[in-house]
Amino acid sequence: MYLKIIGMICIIAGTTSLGIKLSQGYKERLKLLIEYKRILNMLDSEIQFNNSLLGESMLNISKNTTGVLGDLLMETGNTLMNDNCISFNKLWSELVDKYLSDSSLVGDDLKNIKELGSDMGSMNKNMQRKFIILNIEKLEMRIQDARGKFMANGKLCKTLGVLMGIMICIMLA
Amino acid sequence: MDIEKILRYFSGTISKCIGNVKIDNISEIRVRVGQPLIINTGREMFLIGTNGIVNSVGESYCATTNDFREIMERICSHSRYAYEENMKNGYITVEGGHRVGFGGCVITDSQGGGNEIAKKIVGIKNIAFINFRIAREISGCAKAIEKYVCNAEHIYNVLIVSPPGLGKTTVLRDITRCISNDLERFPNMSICVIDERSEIAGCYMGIPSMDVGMRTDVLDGCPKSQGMMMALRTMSPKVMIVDELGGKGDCEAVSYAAQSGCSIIASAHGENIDELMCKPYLGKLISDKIFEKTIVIKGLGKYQCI
Repeated sequence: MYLKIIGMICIIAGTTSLGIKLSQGYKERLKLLIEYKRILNMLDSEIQFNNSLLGESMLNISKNTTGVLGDLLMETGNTLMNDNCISFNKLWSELVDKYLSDSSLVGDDLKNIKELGSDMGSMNKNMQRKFIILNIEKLEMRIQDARGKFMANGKLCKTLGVLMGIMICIMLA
Repeated sequence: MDIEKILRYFSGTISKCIGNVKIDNISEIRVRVGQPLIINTGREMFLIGTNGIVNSVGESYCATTNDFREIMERICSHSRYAYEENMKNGYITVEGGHRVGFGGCVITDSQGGGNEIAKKIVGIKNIAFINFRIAREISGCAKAIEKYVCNAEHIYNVLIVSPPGLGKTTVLRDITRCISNDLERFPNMSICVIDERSEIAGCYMGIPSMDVGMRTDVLDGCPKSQGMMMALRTMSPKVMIVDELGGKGDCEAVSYAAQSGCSIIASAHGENIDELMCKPYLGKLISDKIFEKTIVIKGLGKYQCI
């Protein structure tokens, strides 16, 4: 009898944690996109007020950014400051794949982030700022999508996790 | 001169071409779209091909627009926006104090209306000509003119004159370093370099890459006229160093600073003193006897003091 109860608790705990994990994925995606938007805003300010080089800006922003995006900016900044022969577009694309391909971000999000590399650093200040603002606007649409999915599916995943566990337990009993 | 540090600013193909060349004392590398790659030493000019120095135009390497795109990305450290102001002046100074001059399609704004003179330059696009001027640090090159610059206790107001490419900036840098480090003759000394084009101290990220001495402050990238006033008010220099005087503002600031108890050591473009006298503002400075000494550089290591 005790064995049965322990087994049921394990099944419910397992499915519940699976539900929570799925829900966390939606939350994590939204969090990363919002953080990336903050990074773009800071990059805009660095260009507008500090007139910093791209590598220098990336390093400055990385100091105030934690997690995987902080690591991405840190490596990009260090590489740009130490090796001016590399193409920024290529470097950014490679590093986005390296740091973010295993994250909760989906294919379109990564595509959006990689777009920054296409024209960054090759325009005058005015055009560069417009380019960043355009990227922020496109990102805003991704954030809306992530927020919608989190609201719709986040809670559902948690509930389904618990219910699935209970259902399996009933079926087995 | 570390050629490797310079080659990283050029496109892959041009780097390989120049990397195969063994020339000492390179002073300029000229890149023109569709035209042969050229290296100048000041005394000689060499055509460069993919395997090094060549004898005919046909064998030389001709730069492409892709080379220029790559060079610009490297020179601007992937941050063209950060060099917008420099681009308006037609040059960028890179790490090591090397000056890269550009030619191409100049963009002007419409504020000047039909008046060509009043039009303001806002940038350069379609860059197709590059002159990479290599900064050299020749320690001791100012030894020969030291006696004209200062005596036992006084530093004169000095103007150093020469046509482009004869080493005004190199001499100016060496004078700065000598005075700054001479603790015995000048125990109480502070020098301020107004380095508008970042050529004297070759500052990169605010730190001089050339030796300008231990008691030297540098206002990097600062317009000369404003820089001299700023330095007078804030850095209390005994000597101010400025390169390439010319404009009205520069000359007014020099005149003001020289009458404020500060010695000025400056340089200007010109073949001789008569040429300088023909320049409206610089001529007035000389006729007002602001400069106690004028040193004309006649050739490499040849000086004439007036």
